[in-house]
Amino acid sequence: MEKIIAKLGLGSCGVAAGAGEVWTELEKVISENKLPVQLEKTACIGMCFEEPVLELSGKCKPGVMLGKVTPADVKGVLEGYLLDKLDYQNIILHEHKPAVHNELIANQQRIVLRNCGKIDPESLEDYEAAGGYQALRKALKMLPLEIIEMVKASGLRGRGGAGFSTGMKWQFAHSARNDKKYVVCNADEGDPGAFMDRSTLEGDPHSIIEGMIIGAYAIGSDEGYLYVRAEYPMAIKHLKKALIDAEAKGYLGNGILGTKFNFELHIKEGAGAFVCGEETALMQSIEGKRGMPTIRPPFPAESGLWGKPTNINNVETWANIAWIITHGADAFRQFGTEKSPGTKVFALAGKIKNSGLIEVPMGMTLHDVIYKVGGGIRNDRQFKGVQLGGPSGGCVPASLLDTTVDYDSINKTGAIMGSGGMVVMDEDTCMVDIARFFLNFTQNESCGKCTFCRIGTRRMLEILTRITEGKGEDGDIEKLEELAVNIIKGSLCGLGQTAPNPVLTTLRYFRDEYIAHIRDKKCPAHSCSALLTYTIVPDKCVGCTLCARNCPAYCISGEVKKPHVIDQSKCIKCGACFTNCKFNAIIKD
Amino acid sequence: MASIEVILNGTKVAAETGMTILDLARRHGIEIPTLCHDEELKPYGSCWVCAVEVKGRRGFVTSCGTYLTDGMEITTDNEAIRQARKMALELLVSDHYADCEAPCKIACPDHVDVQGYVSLIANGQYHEAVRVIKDTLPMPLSIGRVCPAFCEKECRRQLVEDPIAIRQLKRYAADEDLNDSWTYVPEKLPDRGKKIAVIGGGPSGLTCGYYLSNNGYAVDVFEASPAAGGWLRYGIPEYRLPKAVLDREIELMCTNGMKIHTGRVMGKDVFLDQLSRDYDAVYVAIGAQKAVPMPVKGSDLQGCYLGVDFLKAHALGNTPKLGKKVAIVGGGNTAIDCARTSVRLGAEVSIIYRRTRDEMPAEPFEIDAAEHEGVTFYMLSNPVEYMGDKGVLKEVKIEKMKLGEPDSSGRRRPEPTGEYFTKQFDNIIAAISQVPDTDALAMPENQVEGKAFPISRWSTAVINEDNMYTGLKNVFAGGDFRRGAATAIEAIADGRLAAEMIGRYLQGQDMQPPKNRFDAKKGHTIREISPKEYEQFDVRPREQMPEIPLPEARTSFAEVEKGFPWQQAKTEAERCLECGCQVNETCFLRQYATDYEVDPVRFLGSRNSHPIDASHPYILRDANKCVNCGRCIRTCAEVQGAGVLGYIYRGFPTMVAPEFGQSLTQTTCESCGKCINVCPVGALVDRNLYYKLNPLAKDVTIQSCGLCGTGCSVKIEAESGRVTRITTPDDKEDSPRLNDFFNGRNLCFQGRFGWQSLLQQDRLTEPLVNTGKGWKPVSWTVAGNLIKEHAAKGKTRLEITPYATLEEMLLLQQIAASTYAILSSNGYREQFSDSLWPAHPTDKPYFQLAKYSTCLIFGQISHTLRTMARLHQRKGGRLILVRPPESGYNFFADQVADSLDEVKADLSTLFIYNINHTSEADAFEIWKKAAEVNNDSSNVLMTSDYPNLNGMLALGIRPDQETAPFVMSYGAYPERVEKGAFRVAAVPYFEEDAPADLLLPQATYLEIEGTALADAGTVLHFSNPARSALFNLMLKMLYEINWIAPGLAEPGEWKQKAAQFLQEAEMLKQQGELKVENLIPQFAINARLEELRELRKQEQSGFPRQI
Repeated sequence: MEKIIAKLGLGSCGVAAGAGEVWTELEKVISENKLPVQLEKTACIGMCFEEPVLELSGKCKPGVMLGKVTPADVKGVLEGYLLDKLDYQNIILHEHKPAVHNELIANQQRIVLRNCGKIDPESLEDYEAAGGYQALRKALKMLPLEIIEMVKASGLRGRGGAGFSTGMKWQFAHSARNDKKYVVCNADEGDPGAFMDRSTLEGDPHSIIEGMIIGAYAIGSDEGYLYVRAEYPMAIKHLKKALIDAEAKGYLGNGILGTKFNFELHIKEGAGAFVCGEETALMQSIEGKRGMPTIRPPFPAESGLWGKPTNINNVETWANIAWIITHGADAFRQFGTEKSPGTKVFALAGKIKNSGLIEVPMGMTLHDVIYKVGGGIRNDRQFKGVQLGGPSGGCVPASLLDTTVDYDSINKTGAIMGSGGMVVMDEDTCMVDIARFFLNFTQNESCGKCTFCRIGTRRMLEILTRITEGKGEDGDIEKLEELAVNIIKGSLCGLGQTAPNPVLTTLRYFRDEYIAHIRDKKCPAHSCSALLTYTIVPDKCVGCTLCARNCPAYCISGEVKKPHVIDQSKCIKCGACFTNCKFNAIIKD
Repeated sequence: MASIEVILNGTKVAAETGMTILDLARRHGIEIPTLCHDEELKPYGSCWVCAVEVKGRRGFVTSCGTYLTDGMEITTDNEAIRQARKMALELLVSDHYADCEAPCKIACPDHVDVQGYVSLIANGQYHEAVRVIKDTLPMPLSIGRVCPAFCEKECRRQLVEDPIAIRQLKRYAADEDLNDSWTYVPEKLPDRGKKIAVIGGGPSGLTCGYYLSNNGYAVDVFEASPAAGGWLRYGIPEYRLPKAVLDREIELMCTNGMKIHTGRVMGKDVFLDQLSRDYDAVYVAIGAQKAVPMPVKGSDLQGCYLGVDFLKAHALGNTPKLGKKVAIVGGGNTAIDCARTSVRLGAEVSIIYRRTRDEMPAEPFEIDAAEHEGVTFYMLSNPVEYMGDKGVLKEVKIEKMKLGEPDSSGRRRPEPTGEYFTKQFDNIIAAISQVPDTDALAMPENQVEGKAFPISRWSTAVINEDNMYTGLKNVFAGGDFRRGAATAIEAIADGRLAAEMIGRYLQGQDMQPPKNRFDAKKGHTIREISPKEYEQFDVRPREQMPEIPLPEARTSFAEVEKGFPWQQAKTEAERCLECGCQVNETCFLRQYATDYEVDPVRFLGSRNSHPIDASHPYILRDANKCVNCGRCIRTCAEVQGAGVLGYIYRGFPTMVAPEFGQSLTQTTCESCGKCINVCPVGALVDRNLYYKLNPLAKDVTIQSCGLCGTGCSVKIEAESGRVTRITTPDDKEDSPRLNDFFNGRNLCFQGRFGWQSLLQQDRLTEPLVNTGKGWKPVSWTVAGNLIKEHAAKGKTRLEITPYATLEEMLLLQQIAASTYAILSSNGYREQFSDSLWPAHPTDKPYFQLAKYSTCLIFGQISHTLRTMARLHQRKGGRLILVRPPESGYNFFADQVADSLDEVKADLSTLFIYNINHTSEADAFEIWKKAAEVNNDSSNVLMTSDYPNLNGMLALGIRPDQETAPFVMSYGAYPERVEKGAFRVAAVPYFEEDAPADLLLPQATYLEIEGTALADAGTVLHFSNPARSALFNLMLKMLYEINWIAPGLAEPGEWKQKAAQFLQEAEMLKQQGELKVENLIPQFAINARLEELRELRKQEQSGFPRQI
């Protein structure tokens, strides 16, 4: 029998979905039945909504990708594939659901994620087999300035969010005169709903390391730090192994690949403060201090880590470098738009069908990202808005779905590209509440230094909370706007400068909802529980007593087979009656 | 630093690189507020109240953290900037859980500084307490007896158990002050040539007249009654306020020239129109003494009185005849006064009141007292008819009442029930209300310039409440006359405001009250404060004031309250929680909040609440006041070295706390107190173990610290000679003698706090004789005679320590010369380096720090010098430590070495060491190494723990081994004593086992007018901030035993001698006769050192390793 390859996704998303058990079962089934199966592991391929994902392939067979695999499926699946009798029920892809796969994969352009979900991230050989470290070999034959020119020519912009030209940044660090320079990889991904960096770190650690080595060579640095949050244990594990392997192979250390170039790379585990994703705070944290942003200028390129010139880029930026060196700036520019070349990785989350990790060329419309790649809104509900850029970003409404995904277009909407978080919201989402949610996050993560950020965001949060509780007052919106303006203008770092964005964009696009909460004491999305009333329509109520029996506040009364009544004064608005009623006799308003 | 040009508010100005916008603004006199900026620290930019705009930069920038670049366009003021600063302040204030002013002071209608005087009483300073009281309240003897004490109702101590007995403490202070040999009377300002008439000699009129007369105005008070005092005299009964006390109070008030004309009735003897013409201003304070009659059938029966009339008649000695059974109608203080007076007149007394006890307007303690004295209460009762027999009252018909809905006063309205009962009474006294008697004002003679006096329908004066002005020409009015029957303290408040406004009026100033200062408040009333916050305080019940026995109280008019004895008053005053902020006069947040007219409630929301941390003996931390500027954290970590403070938590709860949230005492805190110096608000304040601190202005003395040889400048705050706090002088404070305050804001623990024990613990205050069975205090004369007697027996040996002043050394030198005594140093042995000290004064101490870029510190040196070296390093210098003591400071070092050999020294190296913490052998190595790199001996900064070692060496006082049967030692116990010798020691402290026969109290550096010559030629000046007479007493004694000439018994003489000596030393230096820097070539030093080494070797002892 022909030997087949079974590749299981063992990224964090896969493990969380039960891939660990599937792996054990696979090993067991293969050894017990002596099946001709070569078992391999890989990381996330991006279809987190289908995890655990098992990919089967053979030399003479069409490959299949199977989603939501359970240990119980394993035996049948393997035998079925081997015998060409695979039963595809309940499991996806390729053959039976080509449309989904095609849309999802075909609309993507994978540069950063080129190896993710394909190679074993813990195998340097796999990486090398996929063309890894060829870019480094090429770069070491170039002059540092040639590399910088190439990066500049590629038009690569910082993928951490601000979108500053990476080549320019390198140029500054290159020009800074000092005996010591540092390069840093910002892998302190902290946006709620974002997991781009984690997946890349887990799935293809060498691509980041290779990028950093090239960067260090270009700017003249001999030491670097990977600042990874400690909550990413698998990423750290893979990185650690990758560093050891790379050093053993001479890609790191002294005299890299026979040149005089030395480069040492450390991993610094961050303790999970969101603000440490801000570059000056991140450097303070590496130095062992409390992560608090400092005044810029001086910028890191001039005076960064321990006062030395430092170049900081985020994971996705670094992961682009080797590809650009290998394929050239023009190749990179084939994708994306004039001002935003290349691709962008997004973490699709929220009320979307295909939640997961995607990489699309810049310039695609939001509509296409959400509907073509993302498969549309879950349960086919009405799309309401999409939060771009995490808590620092903003909410783009349905009317602006034609906006293309590039730095400048997105900035125009009031949102930001950010690092790539994309949280999709449907009609059941209250926009005041969503603003409150994001502000609550930034408020809790403020380092506490700047007055406006520390206290101002708290006051905004209190106003928003009041509004969602039906205690909004006239003048609240104006007060929010006034606070927002000064918080943006009077904060040292990006956290404070962007914290009011979710409030400002929702105020811009969904002001009516705020007014409804404040003036009419109503939540149009029927989401803010304090503003809801549940009433029983007597005509529809058959008196089944189900609602009364499920009411935790014992506030529904009525005789059997006669319409029931809710005592509004006691109702705690939990919605149990609404959920339990089988006759749609309860109205939520 | 390169020259650049920037545009500041539209104008091109020159600047240099390296300057911040804040530096530039200050140079150009532009005020930019800032809380987080600190000159010694790197820009931080956390508070954002210094926000400005720079063209091309997004948003605002911090002016403290933005360095100038060529062509930068800066705007420091516009609407957006002002609004942003205001908002930043409003946000800070919204989480600044603090009281600027104590709630008792705010609650007092007259805003008397309660916390101030209570703390002074706790410190035993009642004269000072009275001074503070009389700043706003001139009648503490009376008010201390009769005030309803609005202050106590807001006293936070009641959240622990009971409020402070503020009224009684005020009385205590005033009584003590009155009974003392001198009684406080404020200084009278020069005569201003203007006169004021006051109509009405009650508390309001007297207060107005008092302040005006103090301020240099002539005041005539016209009083209708036979004596002044108003309601205090004719309403308050004797047993609460004895007339004799009131008389004394009024007499005191007239000390500065106020004249009281009694028996002068308005409308009969004096007329308002005429007064307004004869005087420059008139204050009308005629009170509210007309009783409102009770409209009850039968009120005209014989035996029915009105409360006010009854009390007044009694006060005048015409007490109406009372029967056996007396009923009082009403629930106010007047009713209670009538009841208790009637009790004393032998009647069986009842009070009839239509509501319940809870609604009674009288003070609860008064009601209690009445009940205690046997008064019966008929609550919910209303008399509806008085019934008599032959025109004489016999019975009263009373209707039972019930409580209905609250009325406009907030009290539940009494409603009739239709049920009645009847009681027999011989008298009924209705005390329901009073109004001003305004009949006379209707007379044309009392109209001013033909205009009628404005009167309301309640018969009260209609005036502008902000300035007491009536709108008529020069006429002001206030007190009960404008308020209706109120309290004496309110009348006094009006009188004081009127005095201030009349003063302004007469000086042609506007009569607007001053703009309100910003006041942070924890709550507007005590009800808004959670008792939970006060759980950390131990329960200490209120002191009960002693009273006369009940039988005596019921039968006489003797004063019931007897007053506090001093110990009880002190204990009671110590209970004060000090709610008002210690730094409310210097707080930057308060100042800016006032400047920017901050609205304290605009952004009110949730707030952080923390217990006040009083675990450190000298540093009080109140995180509720913290604005998170981080100056304390950064100073401690970046300059001082201990680094014990940090931020904890994230987001809104972010706070400054010691590491791991522990107490400062559990950290490596070195208690230098610099965190307090840099705190822009009151989150970190001083504590004094022996003095209850308060925000009152103190006497400030700028002098030198005398605790070691560094010679820091200090700012000493004292209250009447009691030193309360020592900090460092501000730049603003000026005292040219003091070496430009070279120590900046730096002091060590000893200088900042440690001195507190100097003045307290085991302090020797009088001479003590060792009787063999213990120590016995003796007078200075007896002590002198003992000295004379024993010294006469043979040779005399005198010893002095290098801690003593030049004055004291010169004194001993003089005595030694005139009595042929041996004079020896005490506590200091000769060292090879003696001749290397700069034995002459310098006005630029520690100039070497500017001359050398590298500081090489050997071993332990003084804390201040250590900090100065660190600051020097921060400006670009280097710091090398050799064998340093363990400390966080060592992390600053560019190099830490175990021995000098590991260190490379060059021409830029300054060697610093302290002779008290370095062995002579090591010192020798230091000098040797220094001489090797530089032929200029100024590259060694030799320091010591002795404030006057240089002086002692310059005076030539050296150890002398000769013994004598009489030894008198100055500054320490005798060092060389032969058996059986009589030992005298002048020392600051007492020790039970002191090795001496006679102890004399020595003045410390806080108690003497003196001088010293400290390390590096620093001249120290001491100015006796404690106003001590110890040195005078010592001189007097020495003169009495003929050891010094009569002309030398004055401290001033010795001060002059010391100055003369310093001058000579200075001249000698100029002539080059002293061994000084620049004069000793390298080989000379080396030769001298080798010579010394040989000498020591010959002595076969070598250099001692330890001293």
